[in-house]
Amino acid sequence: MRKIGMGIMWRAWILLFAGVLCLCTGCSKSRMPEKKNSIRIGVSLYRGDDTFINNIRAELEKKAKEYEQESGIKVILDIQEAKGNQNTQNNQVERFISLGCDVLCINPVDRMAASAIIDKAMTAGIPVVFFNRQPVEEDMNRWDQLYYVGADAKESAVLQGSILVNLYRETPGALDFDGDGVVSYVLLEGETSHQDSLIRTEWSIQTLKDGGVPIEKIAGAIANWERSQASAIMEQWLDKYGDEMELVICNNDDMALGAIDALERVGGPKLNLVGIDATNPGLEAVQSGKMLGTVSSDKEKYAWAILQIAAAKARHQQINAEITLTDGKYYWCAQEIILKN
Amino acid sequence: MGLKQEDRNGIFSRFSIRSTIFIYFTVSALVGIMLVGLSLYSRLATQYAVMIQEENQEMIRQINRSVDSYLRTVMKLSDSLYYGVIKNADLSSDSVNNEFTLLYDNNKDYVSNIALLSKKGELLEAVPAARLKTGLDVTKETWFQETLKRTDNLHFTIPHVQYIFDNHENQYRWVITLSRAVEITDGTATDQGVLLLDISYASLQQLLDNVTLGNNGYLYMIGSGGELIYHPQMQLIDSGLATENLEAASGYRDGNYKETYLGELREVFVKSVGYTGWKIIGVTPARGLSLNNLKTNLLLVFIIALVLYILTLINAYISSRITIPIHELEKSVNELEAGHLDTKVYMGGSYEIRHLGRSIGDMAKRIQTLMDDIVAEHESKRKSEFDTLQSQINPHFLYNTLDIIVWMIENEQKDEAVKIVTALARFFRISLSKGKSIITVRDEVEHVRNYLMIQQKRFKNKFIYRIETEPDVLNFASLKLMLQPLVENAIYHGMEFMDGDGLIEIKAYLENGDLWFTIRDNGLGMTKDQVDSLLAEPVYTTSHRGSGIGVKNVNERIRLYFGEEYGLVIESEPDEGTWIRIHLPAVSYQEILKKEKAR
Amino acid sequence: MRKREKLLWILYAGFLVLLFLLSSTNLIIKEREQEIYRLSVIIEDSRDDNYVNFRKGMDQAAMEQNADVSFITLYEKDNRKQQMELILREEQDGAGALVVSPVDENEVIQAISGGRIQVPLVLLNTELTGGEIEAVISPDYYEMGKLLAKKVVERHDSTLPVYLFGEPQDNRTSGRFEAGIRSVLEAQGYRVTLFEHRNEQDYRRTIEELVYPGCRDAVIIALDPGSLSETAAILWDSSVYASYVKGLYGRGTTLSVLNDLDRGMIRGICVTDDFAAGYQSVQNAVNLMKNRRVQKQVNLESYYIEKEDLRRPEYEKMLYPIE
Repeated sequence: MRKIGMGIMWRAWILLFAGVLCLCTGCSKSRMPEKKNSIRIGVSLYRGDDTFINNIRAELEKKAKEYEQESGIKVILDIQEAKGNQNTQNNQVERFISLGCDVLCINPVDRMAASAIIDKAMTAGIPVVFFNRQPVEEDMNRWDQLYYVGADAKESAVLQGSILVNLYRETPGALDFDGDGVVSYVLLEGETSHQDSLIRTEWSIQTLKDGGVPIEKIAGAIANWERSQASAIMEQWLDKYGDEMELVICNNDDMALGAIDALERVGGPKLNLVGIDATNPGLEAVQSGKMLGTVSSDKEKYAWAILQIAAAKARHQQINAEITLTDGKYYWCAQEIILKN
Repeated sequence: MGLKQEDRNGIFSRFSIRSTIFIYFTVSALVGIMLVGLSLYSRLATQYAVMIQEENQEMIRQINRSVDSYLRTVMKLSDSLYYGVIKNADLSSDSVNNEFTLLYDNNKDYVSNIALLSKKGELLEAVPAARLKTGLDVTKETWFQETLKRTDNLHFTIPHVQYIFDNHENQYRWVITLSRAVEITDGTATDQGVLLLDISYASLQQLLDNVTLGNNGYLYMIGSGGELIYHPQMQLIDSGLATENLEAASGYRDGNYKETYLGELREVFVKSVGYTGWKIIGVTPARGLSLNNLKTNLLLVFIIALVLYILTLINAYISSRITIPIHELEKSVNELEAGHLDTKVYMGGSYEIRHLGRSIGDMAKRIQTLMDDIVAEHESKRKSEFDTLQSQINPHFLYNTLDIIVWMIENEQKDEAVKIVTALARFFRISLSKGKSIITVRDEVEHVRNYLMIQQKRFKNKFIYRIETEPDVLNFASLKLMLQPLVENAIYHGMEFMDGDGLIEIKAYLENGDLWFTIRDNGLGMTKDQVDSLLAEPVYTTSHRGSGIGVKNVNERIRLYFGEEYGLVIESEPDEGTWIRIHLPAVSYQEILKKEKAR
Repeated sequence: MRKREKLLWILYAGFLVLLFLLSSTNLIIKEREQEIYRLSVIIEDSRDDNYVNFRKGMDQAAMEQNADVSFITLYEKDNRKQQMELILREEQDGAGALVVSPVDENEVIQAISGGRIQVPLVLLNTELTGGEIEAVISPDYYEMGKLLAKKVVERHDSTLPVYLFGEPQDNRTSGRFEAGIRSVLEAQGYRVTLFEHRNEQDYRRTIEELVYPGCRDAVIIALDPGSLSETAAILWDSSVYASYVKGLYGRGTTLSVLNDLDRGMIRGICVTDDFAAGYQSVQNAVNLMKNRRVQKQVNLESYYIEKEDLRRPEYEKMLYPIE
């Protein structure tokens, strides 16, 4: 009797453990098959109301659809805007990572603070394509999966300057209206902390000087890339300086358009305005003669480059050979002058 | 009847000791554990609830301090702009733009616009650069008028969409406007104006967003008029997709409240923000302020079950130690019951069990002894029966009597011979009595009468006999062969040397409800020693003169049949005679028959 | 008895082990892992201009409900074949539910009843209900048209002709809107003419005709937000045109429309709470995925607002949602 009892005891214990084990393994989640035929791109824009950025965004969406149709890979484009707040952007980056994005495209709010984003991306192993607002070189060098797509600020400024230089060379009177031998200009600059505004201002002026255009600065102000601010400032200047102004040099099209708004509203002397970006309204203004000229970075190419790099990184493939990367990281968009046809 | 008695002892009489101990112990352990467990649990739960409450309140105080500090910073900025810049400036010659820009740049994080307006509604200065909307007359705005009226106050609005400035198409800003009346120096004239500070609502949101209060609590902020300034679900409330208990909230002063909203009980903690009259309201649902969680409950159950398990294991061990000796004892008893009286009784366990074991052993021995006695008794009874049987047919008496009969017949004493033969026949018939040991008194007396008649003839009338019986006693029961052996004794020991004046008297009567016989003779008598030895005679005598059954035999038979209290009493005086009394119970012969039948 | 007892002990021990696993480990009862609900929103347009507020509501609900929402625009506006393809593709790719503003409602509904679409579907901008349709969120465009028309009647007398500007498709929503407008105006005796936008200059030309040679005044009602913005832009350009158009009305909640309203180019518009629509569409989609009951038909209310109403607290948050 004892022996039988023991035997049953052992069997019972074994059965029990087996049962428990089965429960454990049986309850583990069944794996979902991984989807290889879609890529997820997280895009964060520094602001939603910047015209240039909006243009890029629209192009990006178009390019994504084209890519989808060509390659048959589904492209999930998750576009968020940071409303000018770096914390918001950092949160968005975290969210992208938690949602399983394959690659990030970031237009950083504060280019000095890009390292936080780089940290998160590196930890998660997700490549980043920065665009339009360039992080500092030290940060870009921290990882080899970081890229930057942008238009070379110096080049844009030089091109902007060259519009005026060429015009001056052709017809000095087209710039110097009052014939006093000096082209009096006012300057509308972008954000103080933005590298581009400094470079653009500096090189625009320098190109003019190098091109032998006699310039004289009447006034300058910071309009933070914004049309409405430029408009307000311009109105004040029109009030203050009136006819003295002959040229308005703007770091971007939006500010030029703001100046044009003020002119149309208040009325003012004939002036030349130049901008940079060739946003759609900017192009319209050029075509309608309101703006003298602007510098265009081919937005289609811009967006295309961003998307190609992003898609290639997401699919762990080689980047399209057509994209030439400086230092293996930087893609500089080609730029050209746009004048009224 | 036996079973019913068992029932009355209670349910537990059916369970073994082990089960009983087990159940009692387990139940009390369970009750104990539950009491301890539940009281701890409820204590913990209350503590937890209190802790959450306090934490939440602390969090709200903290937030309050942040909001306070935030507002003060803004107000200080307004002060700096006014006292530090505007007051010192003469707008006809100076421009406050640089100072404004400096202050703006340092506070860009939360300031959206700084603007200085004249009493007539002109925009005197704006940083960042801005212009008023075309066609907008600021002086018609309520806040403008209010601000000018109350010149000592800083006037805060509730959040609203920035409206007075010309805006770019693609954006709208939610701001809170802080305005104050200022004195503007323009040349020699001073006039009133309004200093406007638009604070970005987003910066306030940042302070209050992502504040989690314990237990799914949240906080919101209302203005002095009860309008919502901040709520995590502000947009949804406006759309009607969510609601909040705003009416009640606007009535609360600072402190703790309990409110019920939408069927839910909640704790509400209100703290006012300085200067503005805004209130921060922290809400913690009361439901779930416990450790309620499926897993926690299961853990509790697990712990109770585990402790119970351990306790019952211990309990089982202890009760086994107690009950196993009892069990062994029980087994021994079972053996005894089965009839194996010489089994060795288990001796072990506690001293009570040992004592029980010893007692049971002793009792078993006693039973064994008693049983042996019974066997011995039965044996002797059997022997007596056998002897009686034997004596029923007495060959010597038969020879002698037949001799007499022959002599009588040879001597032509026909009638005498007939009498003797008849007496003999009757004598033997009753002697046998179909093998019964109990006969009627009538028959027994008849038996001895016949005997006496024969013996009288044999002994040539050496004696005479008298038999007297009460008529009632004749139907009582008597032992067979009771009188005759005694009479035989009397004749052979008493009558032999009497020459014709021997007397044997036999009486049968009732006395005190019992049946008595007496046998008296006037023979030689006996000494006391002889009387004693009579009763001690061996049961079987090879006396060729008598029936062979001794006096002792009769006595023993009487006692065996009717009980110890009955029997013979012998009195004798040498040369006087002997008097034997027989004591029997008065039982009717019919009764004895019934008893025999019932057996 | 001993054997049975031993068995009981073992069973009890097993029960304890089970309890332990249940309560203290994650093996059996798993801590509610936040499940992410994938759903896709497919609209009928190629741009999301009209869905800005809708998307804000969507994002809020997505955050609360732990949902992963893909917002998908068509490659080409109003291409029903493309939309159907996208619907099926999204379903295949693992979307748990879909929110669709259909190009062709009947086709989509047929696909549901025909079983081609297996996942729960929330329909937008449609008024059809019934059996297979699980949830519909839409304003009643017909009623909206009537509301607008009533306001027009209040402000202008019937001598003014009313021009309707719209896109030349059988665009359901605009069609219903138009029907609502007509029902009121025509009953009140107004002359209503429809002008469709076949090429760029159609609207402009029509307005020009008011000035030359006509010298007529008219009231213009735009049937969709795009036409409204375009017409407003035309009027902004030239104050002459503006003087002949006695009132420009329409529907839409884009910022440019609101700004035009503020500037005075537009007289009055009908709006709905797009934020709520977006929020509820995601909420209902997630609830359908969780197999909970949802309100089958959500009728968004239409409001008529003019310039002053822009700053009123009742409308402020609806028109300018806080993010």
